[in-house]
Amino acid sequence: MADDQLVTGNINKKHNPKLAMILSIIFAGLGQLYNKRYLKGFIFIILEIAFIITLIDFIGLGLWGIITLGTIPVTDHSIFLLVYGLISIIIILFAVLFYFLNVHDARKQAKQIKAGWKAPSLFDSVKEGYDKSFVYLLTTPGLILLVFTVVLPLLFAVSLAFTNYDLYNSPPRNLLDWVGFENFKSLLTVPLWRNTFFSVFSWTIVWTLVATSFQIALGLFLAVLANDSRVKFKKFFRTILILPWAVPGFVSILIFAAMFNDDFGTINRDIIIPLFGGSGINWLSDPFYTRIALIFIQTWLGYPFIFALFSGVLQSISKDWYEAAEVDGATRWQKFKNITLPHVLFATAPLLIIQYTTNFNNFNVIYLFNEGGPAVKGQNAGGTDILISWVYKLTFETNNFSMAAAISLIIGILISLFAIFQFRKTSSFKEEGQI
Amino acid sequence: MNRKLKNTIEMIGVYSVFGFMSIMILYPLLWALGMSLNEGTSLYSSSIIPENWSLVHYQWLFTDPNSNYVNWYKNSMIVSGSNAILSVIMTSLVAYAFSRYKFVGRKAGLYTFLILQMFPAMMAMVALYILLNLIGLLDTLSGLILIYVGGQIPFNAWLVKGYLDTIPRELDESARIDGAGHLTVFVKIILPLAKPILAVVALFNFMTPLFDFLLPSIILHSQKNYTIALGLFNFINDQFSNNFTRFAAGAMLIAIPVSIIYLFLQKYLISGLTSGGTKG
Amino acid sequence: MKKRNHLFLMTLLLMTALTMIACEPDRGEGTSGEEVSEGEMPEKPDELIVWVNDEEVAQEAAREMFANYTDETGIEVVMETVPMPDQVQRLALAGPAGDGPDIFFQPQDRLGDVVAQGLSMPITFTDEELSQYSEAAIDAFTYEGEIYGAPVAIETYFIYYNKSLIDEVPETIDEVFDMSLELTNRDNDEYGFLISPEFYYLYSFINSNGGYIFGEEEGVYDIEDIGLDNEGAIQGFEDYMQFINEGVLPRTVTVDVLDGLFTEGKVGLVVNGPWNIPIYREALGEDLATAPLPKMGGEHAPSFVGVKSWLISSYTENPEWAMDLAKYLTSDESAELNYQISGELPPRPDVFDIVDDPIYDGYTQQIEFGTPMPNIPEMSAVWDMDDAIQLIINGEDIEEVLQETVQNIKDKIDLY
Repeated sequence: MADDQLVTGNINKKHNPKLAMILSIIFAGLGQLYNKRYLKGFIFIILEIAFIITLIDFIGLGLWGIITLGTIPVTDHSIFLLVYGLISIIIILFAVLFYFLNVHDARKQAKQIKAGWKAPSLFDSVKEGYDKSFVYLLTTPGLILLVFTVVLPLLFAVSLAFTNYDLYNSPPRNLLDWVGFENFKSLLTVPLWRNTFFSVFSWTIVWTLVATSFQIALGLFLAVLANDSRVKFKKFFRTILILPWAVPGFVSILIFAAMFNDDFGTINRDIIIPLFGGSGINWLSDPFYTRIALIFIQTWLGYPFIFALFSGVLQSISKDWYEAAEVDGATRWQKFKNITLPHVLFATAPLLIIQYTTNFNNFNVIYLFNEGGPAVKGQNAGGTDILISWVYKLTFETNNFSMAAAISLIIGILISLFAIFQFRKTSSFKEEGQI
Repeated sequence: MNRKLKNTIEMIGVYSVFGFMSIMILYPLLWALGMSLNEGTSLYSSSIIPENWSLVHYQWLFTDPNSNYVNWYKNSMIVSGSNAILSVIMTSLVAYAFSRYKFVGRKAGLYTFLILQMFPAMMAMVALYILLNLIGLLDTLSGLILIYVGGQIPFNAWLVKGYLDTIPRELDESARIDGAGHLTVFVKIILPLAKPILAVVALFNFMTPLFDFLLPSIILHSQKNYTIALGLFNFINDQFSNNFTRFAAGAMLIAIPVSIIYLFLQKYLISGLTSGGTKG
Repeated sequence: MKKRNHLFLMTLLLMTALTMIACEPDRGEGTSGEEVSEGEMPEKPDELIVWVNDEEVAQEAAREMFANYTDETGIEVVMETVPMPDQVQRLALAGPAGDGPDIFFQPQDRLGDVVAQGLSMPITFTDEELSQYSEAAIDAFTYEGEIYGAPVAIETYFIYYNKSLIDEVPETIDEVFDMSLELTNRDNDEYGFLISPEFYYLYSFINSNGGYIFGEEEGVYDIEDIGLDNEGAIQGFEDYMQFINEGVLPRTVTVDVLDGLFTEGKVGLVVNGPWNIPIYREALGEDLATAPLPKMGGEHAPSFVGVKSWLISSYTENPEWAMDLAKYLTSDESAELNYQISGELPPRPDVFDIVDDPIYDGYTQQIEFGTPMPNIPEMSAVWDMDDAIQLIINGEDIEEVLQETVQNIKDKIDLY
């Protein structure tokens, strides 16, 4: 920046920014060559040539594919074409971005040259470029990876909701077609969906709130205890407390499923019956108790994450805060409420929200424990089915993939709205914390 | 005197909480250990301590010609290790940018990260399969690692960004005034202070692939390429005959190294940030 | 303003450019391959890829048969292990990706699915080849008039009993009930009779009294006609509930519990499939014996009969050799080998006759009373009956539950 002012000597009136711009629209890098930035120019030219040579065929196929979804059954596979199309669109967007930057760069630099700016040495220009683009250098590799591994699959799932992919219309034997909002319309008319929706939905909400809150409360409680300076063998206790996390979730869930078995599980046999008598609790056949068991299991599975997270954050809170509070004569509860809690929540609020939304879609624990069961009379979902496990079952049994995609899309939009709403609240909270 | 008594009572309370939690945690795990030492194939034996002690399942895992367990173990270590390292690098870079820099699309990016985690991934795996097939990484560990590294960014970037936000800006600003460059500030100031959270991220990303059977089941199809979770899940995936005890034995052998790794990383979690760091 | 114009122009340019490159791929003419004249085999491929179920014995048997085939023809057979339940879903992706097998392995109840997705091609058999398979097995793999599988094994469930607890196997379900009353001692986990509360096994109770899944006429299923809530079905459940209500059959038996208790020698008789022969035999030794299911409603109780087959992937580049291999793998020689290693009965009458191990008595006899599991895709909705069974066990009214469940099944079929 400072260099710019130093070299304002030679004003080059003949240099034409418009020409530079047009040149680089015609072919990336030409404008840069005109600006006498040869290295940059050649790199851009090579990039564009490479792009055209390697990708143009694929993009052509992809665009054709996503528009038509294939024309000859068996030879064309609609699902593959759909994915190719999405990949093509992503690549095009990247290319457009690059092209835009290229044109912008050529024009800007030509203007500067016209105003008499002299090109700095190669070293200086590299340094300047590095300074300006450092933040993009940081984020670009992550961004590209993210786009292909997360955004692409999501776009694919969303696109499916607008096709007619079901059992009797499955590729490769048949081709898919774009059907617009048909699936969403028929959602409203399918009796299976209407009848059971509300009971499943309300349990999903209860499950999300209760299981997640338990998880967080227990994690916080234990983290605070384990952080107490008077506790000895911290390392030992921390290790034990984290153990549930060291066992694969699906293993624990299946072990619990065996332990909770009504007639043969160790919980009824070795704990409930000896302690309370009777014939034990119907953990797997009474929906109420299955729900209790599920919340217990999810708390068991989920608190170590919160515990570890909070333990890390707790240690980052400066002792000065507490010392100052002690001088003011604050009670322990006041210290917890006014120092610990805000600090912990400030650092982790978005993550806590994500905990809630993860549980909303926590398919594994529901499905592996009792397959959403036990059955409940008068509805076609099990007593512990949450939305996502119910949709999975419907899809699996009826092979109606488009419908599943449509429902998933609706679920996703609902929780995103919730999350954004909550998140806004926490960011205002954040401002306070930053004093 | 009074204060000391109060102190003692409190400590008794704290330790009994820990004791109770330990029982809750260890009971199922010990039960699973008992199962893994049981001779038969059924999870239901009459008591938690098996009548016929036997290492037959462990022996099978390591010596039977049909067992690929050692291979799976090796694969899992490769995938988990690479994922942990690459994820820490990738995530800390992105989180640093979001925590300290203003740039085009910052706010939108934050929201996007959030939203990306909200959508159920049921149908999404198919797209990953086709993508990997396209770039020739199907049935390879590298392909799997690539997807894990990409997939973890939204969540962990949040995690690390939240933590970096608690590190006072004065620290990097003063370093910058002293003439430190972008990278220097990042490597010399931010990273050391962020060690605890990076340890957490490393741990997460070590464990995710270790425990995940869904994604590998789509991407890997030669048995020698299986990861441990996928291999184990297949022991019990059969509709009619499950091998729970062998499954338990295999699972025990993952739980142990993970606990050890946690022990190792705890050092960072506990001592990483002393009171000096945040005082600035 | 001017800037807007530029942007607009660029977008327009871009759009035209994109529509220009969006083009249909070049399709080579006549990709269907050269016609091979009748009876003449095309050139041998170097290798054929086979997906084998993720099961120890299956792999062991396959390994030997593959080696034999290689000896005979020089074609390498590559074994990839893919769990049977995952094969269809995976083939749908792997096939078009060029990553799939030439031959895969499925039970007949998935056939409808496989054909609807176009994943498998029919196999051409000569009349002589056909005559060597049992008719039931070929029927199970016939869909819309074409044969899609080379049948490997035929299986059903039957009675295993422990001779140290029961001298003579009860003939009728009432005798089973009496025997249960005598043997059951819940406190010690001792039971007379265990059956897993799943539709797959309980269908015997339903079907023997006149309940059925889909009405059938000349091998064509009528999906509108579901007979799972008729009087026979209700009667069947009443018979079954007798055991539960009397407390001689625990409500939450799982396959795992059943295996565990039976191998510990605590159960008189259980209903289970042939896959457990090796495990039970190892645990019980000489005390183990088998029998067909007891008579219910005066007749021998039917059971679901399943057939497992090799199928040819539609994506194979060597269909003729893939078929050749599939036929080889189910020939008398291979079938005998497979029986010896896996203990599964091959659906080939010639091999059937050599089975002389008395442990197979129950198995071979029960197959004759069996009824095939429908091979149409609508079958997957019928498993809702598992939920109905749970409700009935928990004491809900049988008739009401069945009517509701049948309605649910119909609703699901409408979604297809």
